[in-house]
Amino acid sequence: MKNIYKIFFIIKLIIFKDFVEEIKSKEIFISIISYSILVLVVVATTSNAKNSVEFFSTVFWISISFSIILGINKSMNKEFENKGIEYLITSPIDKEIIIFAKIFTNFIFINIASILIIIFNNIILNYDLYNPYFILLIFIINFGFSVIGTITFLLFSKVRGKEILSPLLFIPLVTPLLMGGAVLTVQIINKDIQNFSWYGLIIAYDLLFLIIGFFISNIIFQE
Amino acid sequence: MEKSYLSVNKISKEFNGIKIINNLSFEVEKGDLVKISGKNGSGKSTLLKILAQLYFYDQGEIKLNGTNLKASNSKTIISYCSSDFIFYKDLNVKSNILFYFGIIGESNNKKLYEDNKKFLGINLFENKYPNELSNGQKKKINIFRSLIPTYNLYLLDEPELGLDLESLNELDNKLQTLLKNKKTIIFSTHNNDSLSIYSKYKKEVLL
Repeated sequence: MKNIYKIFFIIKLIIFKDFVEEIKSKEIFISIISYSILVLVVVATTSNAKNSVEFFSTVFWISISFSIILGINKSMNKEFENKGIEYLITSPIDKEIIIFAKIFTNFIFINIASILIIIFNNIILNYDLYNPYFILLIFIINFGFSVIGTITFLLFSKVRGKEILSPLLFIPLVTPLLMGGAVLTVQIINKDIQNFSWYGLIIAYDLLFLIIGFFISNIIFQE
Repeated sequence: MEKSYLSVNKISKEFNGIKIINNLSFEVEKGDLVKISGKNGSGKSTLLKILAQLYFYDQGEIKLNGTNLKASNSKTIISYCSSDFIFYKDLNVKSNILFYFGIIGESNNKKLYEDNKKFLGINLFENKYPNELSNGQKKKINIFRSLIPTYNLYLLDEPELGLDLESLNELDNKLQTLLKNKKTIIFSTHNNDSLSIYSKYKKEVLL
């Protein structure tokens, strides 16, 4: 029991630290929101996205995924800049806890950014996405993004060019999430959800990568 | 036969096919002051990072209190002071230190900070951010957080670098106090005269 309390305390401390850093720098929110909104504005002004639910749905998830990997990379880079990560590695914390804390921090950041993107999307493209099924979809896909984004960054953390290599691995790995997101978004907008099984598949995919992250945590932090 | 406090047995470490440490063995008793000597690139920092578990070694064995270093709860016992600057750039000095005290499990991290904040004059720039600090002040953050008295084994990688005379005296006194309290200190340096305590080493590990 004492251990569980300690684990939660450490995770809370790392999340709090990341929030204090973000309040000062605002780098993560700016990189996620600006890129995503820019894509939506370009799409809104140059295409017939307003008339094609399928097209909108695909563009929405692609813009979200690209902007989120930028945000996750910024968030993870902060740990490695000036070797702050050594605070964590030399302290008596299990490496799994470090990974989980970073996943949860990224999850919270990208959810907040996603909510702002949805509000903006509602204003310029006029698609009503204030639907509990869509909010659930955003949460479970964002969780997958944060798990896969955190792991792919850490895998390349010691490699030169990690900012390029990490998205190169991230995008193919999140493709099943994007497929599920695009299919369900169309059905949610049309108020006719036929493929509830996608929710289960997305959650299973998230959990699979969470377990992978747990098992490879020692390899990830090896020099 | 009594077991050594820290026992390093035939460890090796290579980077990109180049052996930095080759079959190194030595033993340290509790309360010892141990000096690690060697030329630039001889592996002093690498050895300290291995002991701090920042690097894994390729061969050999390290035991702390008779238990394998990886298996023992060594991170609650070992403190590591890197020769690099280590901080989060978007946290001020006080927040950087409080965060570190928090994750090492100090339940009353604020009290620990308040009790020690005059050491190295940390309180004079506690609200500044790292990009507003000189190199010497950045180094002080590292020394301050790693020299709290809760540990038993201190690994110091050229801690004197970049410090002014007054701070060197404070650091010297701090290390003397730790030794008096039977703490074990392993240090590396190129500047033997910078701290008076450096001349009192009991053992030297030559790399």
